[in-house]
Amino acid sequence: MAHDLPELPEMIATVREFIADITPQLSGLERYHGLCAQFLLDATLRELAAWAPRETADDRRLRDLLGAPAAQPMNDVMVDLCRAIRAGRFDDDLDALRETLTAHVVDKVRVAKPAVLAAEHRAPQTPHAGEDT
Amino acid sequence: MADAASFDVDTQRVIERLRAAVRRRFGERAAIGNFTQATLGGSNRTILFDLEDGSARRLVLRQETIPPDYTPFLPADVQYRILRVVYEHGVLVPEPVFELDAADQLGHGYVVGAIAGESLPKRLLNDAEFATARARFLDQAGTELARIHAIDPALLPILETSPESGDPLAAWMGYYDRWVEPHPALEFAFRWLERERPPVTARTLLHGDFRLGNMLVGSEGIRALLDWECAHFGDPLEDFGWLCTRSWRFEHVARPAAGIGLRESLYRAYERAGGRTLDRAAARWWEIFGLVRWALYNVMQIYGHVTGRRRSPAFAACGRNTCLIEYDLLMTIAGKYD
Repeated sequence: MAHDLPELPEMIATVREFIADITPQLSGLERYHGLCAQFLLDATLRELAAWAPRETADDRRLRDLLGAPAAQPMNDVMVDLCRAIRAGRFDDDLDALRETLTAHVVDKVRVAKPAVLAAEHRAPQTPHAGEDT
Repeated sequence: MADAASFDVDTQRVIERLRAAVRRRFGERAAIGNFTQATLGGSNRTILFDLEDGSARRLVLRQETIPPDYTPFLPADVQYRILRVVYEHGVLVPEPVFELDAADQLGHGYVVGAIAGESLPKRLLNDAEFATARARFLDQAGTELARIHAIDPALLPILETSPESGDPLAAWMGYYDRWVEPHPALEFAFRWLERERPPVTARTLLHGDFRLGNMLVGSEGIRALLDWECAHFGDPLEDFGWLCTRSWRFEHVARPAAGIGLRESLYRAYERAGGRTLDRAAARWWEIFGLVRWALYNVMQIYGHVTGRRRSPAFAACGRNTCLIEYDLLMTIAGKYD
């Protein structure tokens, strides 16, 4: 789905860099586990290289909002949607735009930190929101 | 606290040059010692040390360490100029002692008097030790803001060059474009702000980042206002909107003014201290502006991370923190959050 940066591989690479930075300062079993953690994250990153995100309910929501074709890459959809909002294309009904974008942001928050959501947004908006449907 | 030898090689080199910088200004007999490196915050190297020149003062070196090319933060020399002006006007800030120059070989930065105090918002908002400070906070904050906003902008002409001293909305849209990550929710908020923009009520010097985390507080109250790298000229309501932004209330969301009390108590303290009469209705616009601004600082940090300018888990986390602020922003514009 249309998450913010960092993308999934970047998040894992960041944790891997941190572990690589601190492992030399560790000793004994902790140092060994630090090396094993890097091995595991390297394997995860290689496996992720062959992985591609699939269309989610949120992707479809934003595509529909813009009227973008299914073949358009999501990043381009996001850029075009931003341009359209800035150009005033949704000015006639900003409340409706806000509602749709709230659903988009709620899906992002469900992954980042769901505990902060208000009660009205705690129940899933769509089946398996944020994942494949 | 430690002697220089207990630090990493880079820090030891900085301390040696700092020793030379101090001797150039306070005489060859001046000695420095008892070093502490502050680790919080991500913007600068901060080293506390004792100056033994007969006065035994504790001082702080603030050395610029981030490449400022992608941030809107003021360079250290401008911050030092601001510190001198506000210090002369009685604002609670550390005493400016000297600014680094080329001979110091320490890059950009400055040395100020050290002030002991707490700056962790969670401790300030919750610990019993700060109960008196909390009770006095809104009065003190209102008074300090009135003092800052009364300073003649002509004393700091350099701030006219800050984009935020012009149209703040255009300035922040310009920063956002520089960080090249599409955020439809922020585009919507910019659109909303543009259409709902209140008239400018006044144009004054602003601290620009006036919140608990940028203050040193003792059990009796505020001791110093730090971090002037966001200072600019603008509507005085901007400083109020930022302090009352939902993000700076932490878990105390029902206390809009810094997680401590009511907006009205803060406004009245400001007006009692000689500040202008504040437009309560327009203040909400500036709180929403503040949420956009805070979301964009997070976008800035992830931009620095993914482009390799300055990588750390903290800056990576900022990227995925942005949506939490967008959520507060949309709920606030909808009128569901106050």
